Amino acid sequence: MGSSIFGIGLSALAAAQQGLLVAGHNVANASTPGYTRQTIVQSTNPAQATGTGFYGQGVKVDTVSRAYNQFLSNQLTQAKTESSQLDTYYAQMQQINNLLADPNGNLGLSPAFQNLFNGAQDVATNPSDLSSRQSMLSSGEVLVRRFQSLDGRLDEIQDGVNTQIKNSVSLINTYAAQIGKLNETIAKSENAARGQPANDLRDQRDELVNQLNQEIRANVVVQNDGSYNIFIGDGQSLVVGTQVFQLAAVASPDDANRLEVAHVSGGNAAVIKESSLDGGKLGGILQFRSESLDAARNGLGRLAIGLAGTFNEQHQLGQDMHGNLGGDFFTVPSPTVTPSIKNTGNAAIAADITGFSSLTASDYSLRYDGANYTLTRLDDGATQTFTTFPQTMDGVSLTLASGTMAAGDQFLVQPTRNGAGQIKVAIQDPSLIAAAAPIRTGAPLANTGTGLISAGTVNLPAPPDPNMRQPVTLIFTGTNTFDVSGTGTGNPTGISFTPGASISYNGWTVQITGQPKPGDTFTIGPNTNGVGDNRNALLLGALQGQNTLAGGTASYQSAYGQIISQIGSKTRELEVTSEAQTNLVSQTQAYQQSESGVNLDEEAANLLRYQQAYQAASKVIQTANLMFDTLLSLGR
Amino acid sequence: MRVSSNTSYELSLAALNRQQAAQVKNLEQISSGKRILTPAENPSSYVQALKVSQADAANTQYAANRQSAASSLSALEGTLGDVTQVIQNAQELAVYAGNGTLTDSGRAAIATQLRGNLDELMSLANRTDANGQYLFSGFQGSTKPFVDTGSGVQYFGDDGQRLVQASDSRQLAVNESGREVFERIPAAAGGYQSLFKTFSDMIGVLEAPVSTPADKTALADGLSSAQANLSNSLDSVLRVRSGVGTRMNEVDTLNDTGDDLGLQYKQQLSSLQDVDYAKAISDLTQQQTYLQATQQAFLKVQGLSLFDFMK
Repeated sequence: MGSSIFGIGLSALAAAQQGLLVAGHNVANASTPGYTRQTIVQSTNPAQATGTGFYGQGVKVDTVSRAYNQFLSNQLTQAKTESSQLDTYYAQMQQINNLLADPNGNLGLSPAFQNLFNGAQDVATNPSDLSSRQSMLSSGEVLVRRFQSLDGRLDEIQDGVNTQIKNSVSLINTYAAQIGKLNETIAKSENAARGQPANDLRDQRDELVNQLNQEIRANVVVQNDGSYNIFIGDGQSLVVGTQVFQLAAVASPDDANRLEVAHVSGGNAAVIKESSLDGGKLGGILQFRSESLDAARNGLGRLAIGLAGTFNEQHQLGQDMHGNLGGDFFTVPSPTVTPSIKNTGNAAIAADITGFSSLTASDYSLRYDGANYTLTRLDDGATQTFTTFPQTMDGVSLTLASGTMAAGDQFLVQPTRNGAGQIKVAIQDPSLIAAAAPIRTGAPLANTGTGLISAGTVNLPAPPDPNMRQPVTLIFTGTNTFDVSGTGTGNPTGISFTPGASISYNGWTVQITGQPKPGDTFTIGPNTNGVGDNRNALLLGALQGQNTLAGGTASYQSAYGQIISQIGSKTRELEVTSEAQTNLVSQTQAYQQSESGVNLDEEAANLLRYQQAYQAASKVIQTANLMFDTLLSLGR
Repeated sequence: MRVSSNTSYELSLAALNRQQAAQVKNLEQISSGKRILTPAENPSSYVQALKVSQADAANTQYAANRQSAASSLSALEGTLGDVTQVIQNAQELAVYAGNGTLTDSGRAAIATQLRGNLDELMSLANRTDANGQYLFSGFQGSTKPFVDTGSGVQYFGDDGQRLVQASDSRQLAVNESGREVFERIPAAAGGYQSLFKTFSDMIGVLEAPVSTPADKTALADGLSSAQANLSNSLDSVLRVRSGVGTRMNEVDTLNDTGDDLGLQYKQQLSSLQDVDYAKAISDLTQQQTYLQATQQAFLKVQGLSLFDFMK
């Protein structure tokens, strides 16, 4: 009997001690990431059956269990992977947003545009003044440099994206390796402990899964033996039991400057479809690149190409100070066409921009199936199918430059990708600015009627008519008819005359108002020595307000405004959604922690409880001892 | 609900962070004077502000254009005024030359005076602006418009008129072609006759000796057609001059409109971008109160621990 009191006391002492150990462990790990509160699970020892009843044999600790809730933990991991994706996307977007921000209005693209057109107007006001012309050229240079520096910053951001992809991939590989290792360690340890759960190791593994999800959304499938299988993307396996697969960051087959994520299996790296990789930092960075970075770069590129192209077209219709027709004011950046490295044919495709106002900010993919070519606009998936070149889509004309195409060959066409980086001012000599119009009109003093001829305009589009500057005479043969003579006009006779109506030959248009008399003549001819003429400079200046882009719906500035507004709105949207997601994470975490987290007050109470239990158990032993002493003293 | 110690710590920290972020944002606004610092803060206002500042900059450019137009027009106006005087002077001489008491030598003296006037007229017609560009040569700014070729003064310019963008929708002509001012003048004998020819004809008439009755008739006819032509010239120059004056007035009107518009743009920009200091500072004070309260609550909550009572 006495020994069993000792036994009970000892069992209680041991249980209290274990309780203290676990409470102490909880206190110690209160702030360890991923730690789950542990408790001892105690039960009574089997009672001893006697004739007078069942006598309890004290207490035993069955196991140390962790307050782990799979459902809440999963929810938290999902919320966090989402949040990490949004945070990463938002952080990247902020870079572009800040890049385009120009609160004082003097460093952005917008004032540079304004200065170019102000320069054109200054030239219009003083067409013969070289310093005005020089200042217009300098404004052009400044604008071009703004474009280039924006493009340069976008390049840096793209490099940053590549670095982050590499980092994420390497972290994912590390986590996968550690999880695989832990799968093994946990199984071994738990076997050795006869099935007792290895709580701390399991916490570590769950925490690794959590961290893995900070990089990429990973699906965990718990196996019957308790090990974790982990899948990402479209179901690519990352960890299967103790077997671990690797991811790799590889150059895109379409674009060597772009890293993509590949799954390595049996020595083969297969690129994982970008759209299937979501969640986590990697998901965020990939989404940023495909949704916003490319769009920003193409948007700026379209603006640069649109400006260069339309400005050039007007400039070519003018005449410079030397009396020559205007050349290019800007160098128009050319589209890029990249054959896939998997192509088996040797075809080379050339792309040319033929319609500046029809350009879109999208990239295109060209595919050949052996019989038909399919050209796909990548942002909305619109396609064109055709069998022969040349083919034009959205102002870009594609031709087969050389070689032959094999079935399955693919090309990436990026009309606007290099626009912002490659726009240049094509002329350095200010006298080459085509401020004048190439023609002028006149009426001799011998005319007797009241007819007045307008100064004349040059018809769009460039290039100008080759006979533009041929001298042409309009001779009135009656009050309502006239003859035309001059190279290129076909010398028509008896043309009927309406005052104020447009008369157009050789690429120019004039109007005659008033009432000419028979025998009156009007001349249209080259604008020789016309250095004081500013008609083309006025038209160049007026381009600013015209809707020259996006199919005639947007001016330069409004196209820029659209880019700003898209980026601003996206950043704003991400700010709001990432904040909402952060709140969701914090709520979910509060729930998860309310179940699994350590509360120090609670542990203090537990410490007191087990301390008291320990003291009480000591008292039981003391009592047994006293009883024993009483027995021993009987013999004295 | 159980609350884990971590949670209460993290939530308090998050609240502190949030409030500090709001405070920094507020400070940025106050120090920059701008409510919107990046497009994301209010995309539509930001783009609107871009549009307004573009319109404002264009308006400023039009003002510069108008200033240049005003100076070109006043140079033109001044020159036309001088031309008017020369013509009026010649008209007086023509009347005076009709006085029957004048001798050949008296008329010759008038002719000499007229030659001086003709030279002055030539120099006015070939006047250049500050950039060395001829006022009356049309588009051919560096071509001397009027040259005496031996067979009379000829025009080498053209009919071109330079326009200046004086406002969003208005272009103003800032020069006149020499042909319009000096050549397209209705002649007494029909057709057009240049002012220079009128002068040289008159000089010829005055220099011709008068002895026979036929000479007298020729003198009288010559002087009367000179007077008619001079009067037509004056009408023509005054017509051009009044056109120039009208345009100068229009520049003034456009300047007023432009100033008003500039003021409007600045106000719009200010309401789109600028920080409302009263509001920003009251927000800042409010945030400070919140932050202090959060800090004190944090200390109180974190200061409570059962461990403190375990002795």
